[in-house]
Amino acid sequence: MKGGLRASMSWLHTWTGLVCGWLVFAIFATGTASVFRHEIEAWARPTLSAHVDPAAALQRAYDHVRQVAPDATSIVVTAPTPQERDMQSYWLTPKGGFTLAELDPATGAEVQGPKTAGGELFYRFHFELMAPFPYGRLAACLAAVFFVNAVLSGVITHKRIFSDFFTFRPEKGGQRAWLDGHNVLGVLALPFHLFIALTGIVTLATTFMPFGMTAGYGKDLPAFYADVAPETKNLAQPTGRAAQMAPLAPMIAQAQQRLGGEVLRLTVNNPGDAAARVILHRDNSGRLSRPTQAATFDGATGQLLSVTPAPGPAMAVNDLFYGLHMGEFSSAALRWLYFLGGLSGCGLIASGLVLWTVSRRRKLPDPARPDLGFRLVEVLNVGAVMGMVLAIASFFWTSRLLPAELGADRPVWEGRVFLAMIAATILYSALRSQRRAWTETAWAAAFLFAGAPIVSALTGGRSLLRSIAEGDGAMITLDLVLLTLATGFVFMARRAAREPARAPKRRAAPAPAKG
Amino acid sequence: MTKAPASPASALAWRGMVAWRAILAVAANYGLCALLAMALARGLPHLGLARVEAVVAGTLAAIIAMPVVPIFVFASRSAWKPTATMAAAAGGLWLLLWLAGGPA
Repeated sequence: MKGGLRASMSWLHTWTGLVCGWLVFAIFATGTASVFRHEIEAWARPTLSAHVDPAAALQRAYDHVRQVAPDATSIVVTAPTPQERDMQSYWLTPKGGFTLAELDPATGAEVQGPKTAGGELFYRFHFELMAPFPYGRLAACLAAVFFVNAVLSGVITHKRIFSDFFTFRPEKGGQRAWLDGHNVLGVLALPFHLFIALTGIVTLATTFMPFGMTAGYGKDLPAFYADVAPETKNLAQPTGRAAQMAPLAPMIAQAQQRLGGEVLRLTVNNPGDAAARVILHRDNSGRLSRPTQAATFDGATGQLLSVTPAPGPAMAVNDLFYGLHMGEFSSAALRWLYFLGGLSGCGLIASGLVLWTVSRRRKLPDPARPDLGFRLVEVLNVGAVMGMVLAIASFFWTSRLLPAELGADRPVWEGRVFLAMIAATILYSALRSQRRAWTETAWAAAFLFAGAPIVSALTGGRSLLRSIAEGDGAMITLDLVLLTLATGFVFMARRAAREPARAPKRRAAPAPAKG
Repeated sequence: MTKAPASPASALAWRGMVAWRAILAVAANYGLCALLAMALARGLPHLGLARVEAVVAGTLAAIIAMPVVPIFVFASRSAWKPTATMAAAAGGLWLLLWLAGGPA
């Protein structure tokens, strides 16, 4: 394009940013919340307690499933961890039966209390957007490609990347302050934004870019999945002879020793049969890469049969990307960095969207009466950004307040309220002036976040006092994060309510060039 | 190149040019990256890689290339240059894929 590289990249940055901004904000916000999805899960299920021996819990869960589904042909249970207090479980029965259940590590039986989507609500929305498969995942990947492109073109646009890192001039007001803020947020966590978006696409690679897979394997996709997870190859067929199952604890201990880490997941094929197979997958703590690595045992004798071979170099790179995205390799300290990196991404996108309107408003023929396109961007900026914030906050209310009589539909209703909050915020911001819409939705967000711990305490769920009495650090922290978010939105509401610091007209002195 | 020209005729041409580059940057880019994934998935086993390794390497290469291609599409002065470059790259990858035996 004309006008040199930086000008054309600035143009590209502006428009890819605008096109993907609203969607990417939603993905970043729910992804940031998903860093603590296990903690949110535990918060949503107050009956679960922390610190249960994983081996004993897996045995209890296995015995429970065998009892409720004696004809199950395959049983899968995830182990509890210090973060994850419930056990996700599913089992297959003949004729294609499939049952999902959430098990309590303390009893092995289903978790008591009303059903809730828990941390899964944000986590699934993060890459499926509550859209039917595969469209939500494809949209999320496309948004990530746009976002990576916006980051790259933004870096090329930005010539003084180092000096602007130390530049923040809120007193200048208006566009300059927004641009400084956008630059600081962008540069501060630049490597994080780049890799988190790129590795996010990698996690959905076979959905978004299946053509390598289909070119290499043709119609024989089961062969591809078997090559990816070798422990699923050559599965034993049931013999029809019943056999007593060996205890799990010694197998778990041996698997931990052979795989060099804790057991993440238990899979039992042909349970109760002489050809029962116990497959134990290793968790991903303490290593960047996230390979599928498992030990397979003979269920009847408890003998180790095989260990997954190490992946090849390309697969190792893929596993590394996957592991970097999921961030399961470290303890709390690094997950906080992921959380802060995610928050800075949210701020980067939101400030970029606002900057689009701020830098164009004063060029409008009549700034008080903007054209339809400009107004649409304004409305969607408040609607998409604050709508997503309010939707996330609403979960902490619906999870406690929706009636238990909804039964299995309760998580569905949590999702409906979540989507309704976004729709309602978009509508609301269409009815208010830009400044009022930002101010009032920020107050609403502060109210919802501050109210969540109170509602939780009043409805017999977790209360901060109970968490302190039990010394439950994760739940204390979660309540404090909710209150901190509320404080942040109070600050934002007061700031947004102010008149603009300077008249929007450009003064006689030339303002610094954009970029 | 940040503003549409004032006269109606050149404004229309400018919009057409932006639309064409958008097609190159999104649709043609995806097709080109799919071809890259296919060519590597089929070609790399001839260099001794395992089939699953070749597929994963091709897919990763395609995913990394995709966000970079639009930079070149929008950076060049004339819209013909990226059009020709991408067509040539697609032809080259198609040839590689064909030499490797085509998709399985």
